[in-house]
Amino acid sequence: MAEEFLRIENLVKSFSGNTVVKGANLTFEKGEFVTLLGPSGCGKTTILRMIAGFEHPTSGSIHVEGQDITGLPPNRRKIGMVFQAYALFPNMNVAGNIAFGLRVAGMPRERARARVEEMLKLIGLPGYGKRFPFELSGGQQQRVALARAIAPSPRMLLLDEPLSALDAKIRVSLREEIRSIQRELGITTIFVTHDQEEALSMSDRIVVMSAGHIEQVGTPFEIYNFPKTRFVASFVGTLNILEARVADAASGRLTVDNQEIASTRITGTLSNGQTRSIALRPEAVVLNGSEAGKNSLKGTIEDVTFLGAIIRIRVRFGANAISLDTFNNPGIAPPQRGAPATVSFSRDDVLVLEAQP
Amino acid sequence: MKQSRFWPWLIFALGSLYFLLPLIATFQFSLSIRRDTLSWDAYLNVFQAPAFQQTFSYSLVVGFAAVVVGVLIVVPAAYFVRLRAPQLRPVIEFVTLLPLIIPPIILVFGYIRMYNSSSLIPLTNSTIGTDVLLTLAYVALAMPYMYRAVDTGLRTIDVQTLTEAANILGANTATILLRIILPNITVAVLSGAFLTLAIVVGEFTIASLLNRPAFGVYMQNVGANRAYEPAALAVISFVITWAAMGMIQLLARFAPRTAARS
Amino acid sequence: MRWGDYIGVAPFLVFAILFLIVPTAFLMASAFVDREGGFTLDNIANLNTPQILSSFWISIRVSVASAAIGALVGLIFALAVIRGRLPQAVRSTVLTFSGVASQFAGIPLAFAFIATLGRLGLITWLFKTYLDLDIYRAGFNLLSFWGLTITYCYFQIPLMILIIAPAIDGLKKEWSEAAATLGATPVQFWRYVGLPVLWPNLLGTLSLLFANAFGAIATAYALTGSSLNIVPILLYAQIRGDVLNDPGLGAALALGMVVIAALANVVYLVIRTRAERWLK
Repeated sequence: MAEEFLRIENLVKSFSGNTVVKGANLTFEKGEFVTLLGPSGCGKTTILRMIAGFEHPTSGSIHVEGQDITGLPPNRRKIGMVFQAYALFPNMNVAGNIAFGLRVAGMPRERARARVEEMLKLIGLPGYGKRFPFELSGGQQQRVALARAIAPSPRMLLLDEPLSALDAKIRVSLREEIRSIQRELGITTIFVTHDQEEALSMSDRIVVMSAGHIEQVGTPFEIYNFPKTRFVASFVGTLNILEARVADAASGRLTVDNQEIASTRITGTLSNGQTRSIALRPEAVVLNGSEAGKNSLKGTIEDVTFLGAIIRIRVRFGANAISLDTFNNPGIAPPQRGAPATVSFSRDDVLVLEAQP
Repeated sequence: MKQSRFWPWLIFALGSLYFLLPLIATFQFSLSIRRDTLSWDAYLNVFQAPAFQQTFSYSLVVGFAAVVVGVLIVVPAAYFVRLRAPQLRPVIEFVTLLPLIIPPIILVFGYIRMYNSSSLIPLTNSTIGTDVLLTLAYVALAMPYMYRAVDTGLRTIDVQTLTEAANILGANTATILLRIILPNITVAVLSGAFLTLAIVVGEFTIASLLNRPAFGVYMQNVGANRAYEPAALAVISFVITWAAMGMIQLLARFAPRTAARS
Repeated sequence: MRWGDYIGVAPFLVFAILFLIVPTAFLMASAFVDREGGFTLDNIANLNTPQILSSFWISIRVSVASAAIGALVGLIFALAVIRGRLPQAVRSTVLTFSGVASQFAGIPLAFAFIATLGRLGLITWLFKTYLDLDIYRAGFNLLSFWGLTITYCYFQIPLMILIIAPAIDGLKKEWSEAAATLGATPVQFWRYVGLPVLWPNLLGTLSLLFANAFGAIATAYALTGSSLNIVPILLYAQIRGDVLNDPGLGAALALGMVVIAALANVVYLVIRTRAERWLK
């Protein structure tokens, strides 16, 4: 049973009439890697900055290891932070940057030097101590920024969209590195991003946010497979959303385009005649295969897009449409637009979302 | 994170005091020509003096001439450097730095030595020749600012694309410059023009050494002979400079902008 | 490259050559020419008179003093306005005013300070009436070294503000935030990051301010007449009385001025290019 490390209570932040964070409650365990995920403006960075101490909460409190740090200035919180823009001090070389926190804390020169070497090895840049930030690539600068934040052994690590400014390839390799360093050190980490792939691949838990609210908290597996709200379902992964009408609440049957399907995953309760949104992952849909016990819908092929290894097909059912992917097979010609098609999917893959208020 | 704003405000207040007091003092002084009451008499004296009107208009005329010459010299150069001869850019930039490095007194001294009666171009021999020399000196003084203004204006309107479009439609270089480029950088040119005028109207050193009846010389004269009128002149001068700068700020809002390619 | 490409630049270059480069070079060269037209170093040697040397010395002192004070006060002021989290309106007012004030030199400035700190000036009168202190009796005189320096500061400080403001803007907010998360107090931030990053700019601008003051004459002339013998005033007198006096000496004086002012400007440019490399 892991201990509680960080607790946020009823955190609210308003900027001149505009409420950016509307009452957040979260607990984080020691050693966890938690991602705050959401689109720009959802409040995730604001929460991070309040934890760091750069923004003062309008109301609510923040507790670390049982201690209320809400009023503490940022330079006394013993928190490490990595910024999107790297923020390396341009007048110091790599070693100087990494040693900065140690120097400020008064660590003796020799120990600091050893610690810097340790850090350089950790981030895979041994011998780079004498280089200056402007001589480094973006990925290298960010690794140095990470080392700088970790060197003074902070009790918590905050990362504010650290990979957003980097090229795609570097992003992938760097996020694996960050995760493995974090595991090795066992340091509680909060990561902010709008990229759901990053969130899914790196986190122990994800906090999905939208417009100042926390939509859902859970493991990547839970968030992806069991989204609780329409927002979470559409933000994480690609999703088909259909409008259906409840035909028989008791047996979980609904109609789409006057064709009947059944679902075993229903959020909340159904009532007959109600209109509900249903979510369907493209990977759960099969073209032209129908088996007993599975749902099937008949429609018309509206669009065929050739993406190389994948062919993306959109099938229309009246007012609804479903996108699905099939692998490119040189032996089989892609389907034609306008041709009739049947799609099938299992009842367990149909997720009936919360009723809209 | 609440930070005390006391010190910044205090510093701002003290600084403002240093800068505003001389202006207030000058203004108050200019109104004090009559012993017991405040009056605009000093200003009246100034405006009515024929010397004021003559030297002021002289300086304005010279100023306008300097603007025209400046534009004729700078605009084609900036255009060509941007479009056809980018390798000349370092040379041009160095040249625009020269007037900032060479003090005006040195410049005019050089002129006097080079263009006096015993040289190839005896400009100082005649009044009109000296006027030309004066104008050219002001073109040189204002040139860094004029060039920077025009260059920035050209950068903002993506000259390259405009030229290519006009070319395809059949225009030659002169037409392009006159009908397309110049109208689009009018704001930038006007900026440079106002700055030139601000420099010319108050200038003393060059005009005095070339013995021309410019406004700056007149002001110094008044300063040597009168007590209150100089203060009035200082206020007038400040208002003119402020107005010129204000116009430049205003113009900056009306600068045309198209997305540059780079 | 077709020569047609250069035709547009021709008027500019011709102008620069005829009216910038050649006159100055000619003047500099004539410092090495004696009356008969032969090469000589005598003119420069003749600079070694007490009057001329003291003139250079005063010029240097006034320029150093107004540059140093201008730089220090300008820096503090700019820091207060930009980093002191004062309202945006304050910042734009200060920058606009600095733009105007840095051009407000010469004769009008002298008049303004006479009206402020002269014998009949407002401040003089205020001190006499309310503090019972006659500053002129106490030894102050506007027409002196310190009077000139204070007057020069009126355009040196705004110039400093204009030049250093973009550099202060360039101090990214993330740097002070990163420093804070690493445990630094604001003082430590300025000591280890803020001032070191600004330092090249400060030095360079100091150099520029020095050159600016060194070459200025109009203000001094209107303020002190010929009583304070800074180099430009000496030169002015030389040029004015050129017909009677030693042409070679005048040229040598000019050479001395240009060497000092140009040196300071070059220092500024070199430092500025190096500093820009840092902040890529």
